Amino acid sequence: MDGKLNDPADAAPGAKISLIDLFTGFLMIGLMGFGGIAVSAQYVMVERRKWLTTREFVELFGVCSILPGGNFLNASVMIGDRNQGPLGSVTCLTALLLMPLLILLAIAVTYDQFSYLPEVRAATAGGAAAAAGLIFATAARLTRGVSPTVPLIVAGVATFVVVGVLRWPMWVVVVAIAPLSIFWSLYAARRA
Amino acid sequence: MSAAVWALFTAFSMASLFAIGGASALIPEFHRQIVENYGLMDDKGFAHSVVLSQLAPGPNMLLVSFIGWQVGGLPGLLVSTFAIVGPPSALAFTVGRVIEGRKEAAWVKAIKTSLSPIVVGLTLASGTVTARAADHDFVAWALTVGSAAFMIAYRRNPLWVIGAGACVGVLAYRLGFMPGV
Repeated sequence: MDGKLNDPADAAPGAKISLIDLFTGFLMIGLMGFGGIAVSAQYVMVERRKWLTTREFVELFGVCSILPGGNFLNASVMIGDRNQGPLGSVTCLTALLLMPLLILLAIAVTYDQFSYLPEVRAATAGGAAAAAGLIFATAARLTRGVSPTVPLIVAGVATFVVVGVLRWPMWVVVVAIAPLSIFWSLYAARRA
Repeated sequence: MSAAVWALFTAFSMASLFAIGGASALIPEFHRQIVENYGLMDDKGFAHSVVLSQLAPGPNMLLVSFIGWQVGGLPGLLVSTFAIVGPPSALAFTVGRVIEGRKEAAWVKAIKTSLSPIVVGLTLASGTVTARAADHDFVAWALTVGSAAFMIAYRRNPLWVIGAGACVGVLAYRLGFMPGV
């Protein structure tokens, strides 16, 4: 089922995504991005609109994660440029930021009136717990985009341990895990 | 531009290229600049901004936009957002052109393949960190496990799942099952 859904042949190869599609797509990603954008970006880009296959998605976001700045903001710039040039980049970036900014301002204005209500805190707690589950489900789905070779599995597990368990900063991944993963993969490819 | 808005621009644009892994890694640096160095906000206001910006959906860079709003209204928000997003976006634009222009080159393919598992590791780590922060009682744990299982089995709009989680939270509170609230 997943193989069919993510079949690259489904999306017309080489077809450019229009500005309006980019705008509405990134607007949805921002609007649904509670608890992190990974969930909504994967849902919109891979499953709903089929802009990218799971493999293309993890490869794009891999590169964007080791660059400075928000990884999904970086990816929006690249996807925008790839389809509609610099105007596409600005469109995607603006669309991605617009809804979260408006929601944040709405929360800021109303928070003090409602935050003392236990129902509001219970709803926030329930929503956050559900969001955590969605992130786990997205991580499980993204594994399908990674080839199961030893260097790549080690790099994925090491990233999880460093950031998720040890809570070390992200630059450890950038200066240690990313280069080691690249060199190990190149070495393994040369020997094979 | 007022002095405060100019200070925001300087602080955020200088920090932006060091924001590896997003804005959350830079919170101590923001605090140093905004509260201690420029005195644009007090400790309480800064902490409040961090909490509120985590409630909204979207990139964690929003914290910066929100600090801009608190300090300088709409101009502060726009300038801060531009300052934190602009430099990394220019870099991403350049890198994107390089890898797209040489996408058939062996080294580009090798780099993309090698970095792909990092995304899975980071997503899993983000799930763990979110669950640790959110799951204080049985109801919350059950919601996390339930929403993960639901999303793996069905592909529905994630907003529905979060909405359902919020409703279960309220229901559980009313029934006295959510002592953590």
